Parts: sequence; C-alpha cells; structure tokens
Amino acid sequence: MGWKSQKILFVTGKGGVGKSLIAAGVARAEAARGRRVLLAELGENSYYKDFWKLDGVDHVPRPVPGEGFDLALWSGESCLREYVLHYLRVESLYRLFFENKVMRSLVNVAPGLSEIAILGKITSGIRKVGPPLAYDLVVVDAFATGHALAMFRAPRGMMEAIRFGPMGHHSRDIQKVIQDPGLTGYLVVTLLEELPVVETLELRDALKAELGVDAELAANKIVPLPASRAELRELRDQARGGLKELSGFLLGVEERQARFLGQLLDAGAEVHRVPQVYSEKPDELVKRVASAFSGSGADGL
Amino acid sequence: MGSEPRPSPELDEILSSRKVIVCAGSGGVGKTTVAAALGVRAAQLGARVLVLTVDPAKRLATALGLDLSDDSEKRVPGQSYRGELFAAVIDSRKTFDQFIVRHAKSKAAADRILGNRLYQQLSTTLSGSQEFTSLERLLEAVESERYDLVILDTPPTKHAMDFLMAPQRIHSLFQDSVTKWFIEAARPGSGGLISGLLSRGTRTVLKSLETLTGGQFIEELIDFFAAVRSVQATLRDRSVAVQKLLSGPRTKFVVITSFDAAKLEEAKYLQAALRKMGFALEAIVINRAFPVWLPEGSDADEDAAALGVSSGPAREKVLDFYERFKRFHAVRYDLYEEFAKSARAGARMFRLPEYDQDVHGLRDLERLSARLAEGAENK
Repeated sequence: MGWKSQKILFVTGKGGVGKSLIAAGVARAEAARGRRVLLAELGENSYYKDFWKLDGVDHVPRPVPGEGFDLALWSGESCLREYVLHYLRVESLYRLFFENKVMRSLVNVAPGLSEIAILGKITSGIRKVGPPLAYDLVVVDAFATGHALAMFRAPRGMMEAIRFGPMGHHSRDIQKVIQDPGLTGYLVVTLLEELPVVETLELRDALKAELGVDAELAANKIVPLPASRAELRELRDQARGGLKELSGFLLGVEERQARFLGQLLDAGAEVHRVPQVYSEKPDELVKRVASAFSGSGADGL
Repeated sequence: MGSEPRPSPELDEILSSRKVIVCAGSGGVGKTTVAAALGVRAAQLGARVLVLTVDPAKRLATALGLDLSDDSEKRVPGQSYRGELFAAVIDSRKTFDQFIVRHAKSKAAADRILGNRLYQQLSTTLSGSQEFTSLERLLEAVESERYDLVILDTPPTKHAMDFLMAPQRIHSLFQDSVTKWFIEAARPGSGGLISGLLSRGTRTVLKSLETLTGGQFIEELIDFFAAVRSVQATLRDRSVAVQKLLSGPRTKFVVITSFDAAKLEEAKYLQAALRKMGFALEAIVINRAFPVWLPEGSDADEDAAALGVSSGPAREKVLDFYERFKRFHAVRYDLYEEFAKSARAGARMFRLPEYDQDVHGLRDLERLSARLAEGAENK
C-alpha cells in the first residue's frame, strides 16, 4: 500500500459511496501504526460533526476522542484567509480584504482560487510554508468525483493562466507535490454497483492521464457471504420462507459483487475490499473499516 | 400501465400541486430515481409532467428514453397513462450559454462573454453554477406553460443544504455594486486599474490582491465583470423570479435521504432550513431503508426453525447471518422511529426498500411509484 510511506492521501469517489467512513478508517489504521495522522474534510459543513457527535469541527485541527487522530474542516474561504494572512502579515489589511464585498465576490468567482487555497493548505506541511502542520499523514476526505477532479486540475490551470507572481509559483509547487507518488496517494471509493464503478474507472483514467498517478480503489460495503454459491443455491431450492428469500438475495448479491469486482480488477487497479459493517455505532464502524486497511489479515467480517 | 392507479391520498395530494416539485437531498441517495417515480405517478393521475434530471444513471436514462448528449424535452417511450410523461437532461454548460445569448444586449456582447476565459471555466466549475442552470431550466419549463407539473431533480451536492444556498450566492456575486466597481476600475481615463477614483481601502485591497495573484489575473477578472454587466439586470430578475416560484404556494419540496444516522441528521437540518426559508416541505423519502424481502420493522421474533427445513451444511451459517442481519435492521428501525418522532411536524414520511436490481425500465419505475403510493407512514 503506497500511502504507508506517503504524506497525503486523497480519498474521493461518487457521492453516497461512503468516502468519509473509509477516510476515517484509513486514518485510524495509520494512527494505530504510530503515525501522527490528520483527517481533513473539505467544504463548509462537517460530516463528522454529526457522525461522532462532536461539539464543533473547525479549521484548526482537534483530536477526535478515542480515535487517535486529529480532525479539521477546511473550506476554500478558511484556507484563503490563512494564506492571505500569512502573506499580508498585517491583520488589519486582512480584515479589510475579507470584509470587502467586492473581494468576497472575487474570491467566489475566480476559478480555481478556492481549490488552490485548499490544495495549498493540504500540501503546506511538505512545502514548509504557512503555519506548521506537524503530521506524518494527512488523510483528506475530499470532494466527490467531479469536484475532486476539478480541484486536482486547478494548479495546472492556474500555472497556465498566471506564469508570474506568487500564485504562479505556488501552483507549480503544489502541482509537483500532488503528482509525486512518493508523497501523495489517491484512493477512490466505490460500491460494487454500475454507476459508481463507471465513475470510479473514469476518474482513475483521468488521474493517470493528467497527473500520471495510479489511484488505488476501495470497494465498499461488500456483503460478506456466509456460504458458498453452491450451498446458497441448495438452500434457495430447499428452504422455505425467510431462509429461502435470504439465500436468493445473497445469490443475487454474490453475482453482482463478482461482476463489478471483476471490472475493477480487469482495469489493473489495486482494490481494497471493505466489508459491509452491520452496525450504526461510529466507533464500531470505523474500527471495522480500519481493520480492512491495517493489513493484519483480518477481513473484518 | 393503462389501468387506473389505486388512489393514494397522501402521495396524490403532494402530486396534485400541479406546478413544481423539487427533489432535494445530498449526492448518491437516489434522487433522480425517486423524481422519475413521482413523475410516473403524476402522469398516471392524468397530469402532463416533465421530469428534469441531472446526471441520470445510464439505465435510468434509457428507461426514460433519454440520450445524455441531447438536452431537449422528450416524451418517455412505452407509456400509456391518463396523462403524459416527459423527461429531459439538464446540460449545465449549454443552458448557461443559451442564457447569455438570449439575454445579452447584442451579439457582440454575447460573444464577448462566451469568449472570456474566466466565463468558460465559470459556467461549469463555479460553485453554484449547476444549481443556477437547473433553476433557470426549471423556470423556463414553468414559463413555457407546456406542463401541469415540473419535477426537478437537483444537482448532486455534498450537503443537501448547498442547493438552497446557490441562488443567493450567484445573485450576490453579480450585484450591481460589484460589477460597477470593476468597471470603474477599468474605465479608460480613470488612471487605469488602481486609480484615484477608488477609495483608499479598496485600493489597498486590490494592490494586495495583485501582489498575491499577479496583474494578469486581475485584468481577466475586470474584463469578465465588464462583459457580464450586460446580462446583469436579467440575472437579478431571474433570481427574484426563481425565489418567488420556489417559495410560492404551488411549489413543493420532497427531501430524499439514504438511511444512516449521519444522513438522517442532515435531513433534519435540511428540513429546518427549508421551513426557515419559507419553502413547503411536503415529504421525506428514505431510500433503500430495508431489503425488499425483509419484513418491515423486522422486530418480530421469528423462530429460526420456522424459516424452513433444510439439511445442507450451510444452513447454520446462513441462519447465523440472518440473525445478525435482522438485528442490524432492527437497530436501524429504532433509528428511523427516533427520526420520525423528531421530524413529525408536517412532512409525510415514506420509506422505500432496497431492490436487488437497478432500475432497468419504465416498469421498474412503475413498481417504485406503486410502492410510494402504498402510503406514508404517518398520516
């Protein structure tokens, strides 16, 4: 697994496939190996706040009780604020900057500016700029597929638009970090269903073509089959009632899972198999997912 | 199918609004499918319905007779309803371009915007631009008066709330004061970019920005805002019209959510936000709530022995799985009941099962809409 030595791992995937849980599981597994881990979620609203019932999630990292890693919420605006403050250095000027209506519009409209600011923050530890980010690994619970790809494309777009000045310079540095497989890993989460699988393989191809990186995949919510195909067939044919229906259901699931897993493997990807966890307890969920990434051999079923 | 559907008072009342239904919810919860199923039901009841979809799954698109590269409104094939069902895919880029062409003061003005590099990126990547275009498309469909009911499937967002914030975001972006500022800054004879006409504060800000990004970037921005000015009044009028339509008495919101603790929590926020903004939340649909074959609620103490006689070696293993599976769904049912209690005021609650297969055709959508028509869980 690449990210065992990498410093940044982007976790993305189609909406609703369970990115956030996978990101939390990886963070836990890596923290358990003794690494200092930050789980960073992107955007303006926190998923984990409700998930772990936290008082608040903020730009400044805070430990997640009982999980062994820290958590932060980074938005384009919060990252840009930090960036501007860092470069302007004068607090009053920075206030002026952000309390100005025109500037706010500009920040919103300037394509890629938010994305660059976020990527700048994520890579700031490696590039040794801005406030120190003392972590061995930053696991990013990134945007869903389309928006994530737009974010990964932003530095190149900016480099081409602006060759000179600090922004051009930063964009080049960020670009170097995100396409260095020694520093940055990509994990695309999918379900073994048609739409997420198609989107996942498209994203993997785009990452290869545009950044030259090989994304690893996580097949999430794999239903653990309690019996072999032959045994299930026999049960379906012989049993009655719920047991018969269950066997038929499991057979259908088995067929679907095998088909889509086959498609992922055919694409030459490394696929992490993450079992469906039959629990709604956050601690239990994260622990089980972590065990699928801890390489201890436990399959977490 | 051609036959008269059985009446379903709760669902049919929602569909009888006969103007607009907005399907809201975060990405990956099955919004498009539910929107289409609602469309089927409304057509069965006799309405002329348009379902506007964003990014439908291939099979669902096929079921609706849609070609993803064509954004025109099409009659869904294979139907024989009392009413009529139409569907269309929203192409964000195309809708934006057409909007510019239609509302710019001249062809030259339109070309200037369409040719601006910032615009080219913004029309697809600006946060809120997809929301803007889908609302614009909704407004056009309503104004065309070709349909009794338009059902809008909203763009996928991380948080369901993002959709509600989008129109205001776009609106405030193109406020008159903002564009005017840029045009002042760029006016010939005003001393160029950082002129004496600007307030000292603004000048300082702009200088700082120039330090950060470089002058070239600022020039592009100024050009963009200057070009956009010609459609600005229309942009403002349209966002006012959209707000009016959405908060009007003939628009209803349906929230679609998947079934886990955090998503239900999010649905609660969304519900509160909709109310606060004066939108009418009519129903909450919890999708994939339980496998289609598992008895609902599933808290009955079904004796494993009653499940069937079988002699295979797998029996114990499968039974063990069944017990765990059932316990899991019993816990989820408790979660749901808690949610239902806290969300009771006003909105109807529907739960849909998880089917073994994706939606393949119109018949699957009919099955889904029949399931919805079986009724809400709270009356």
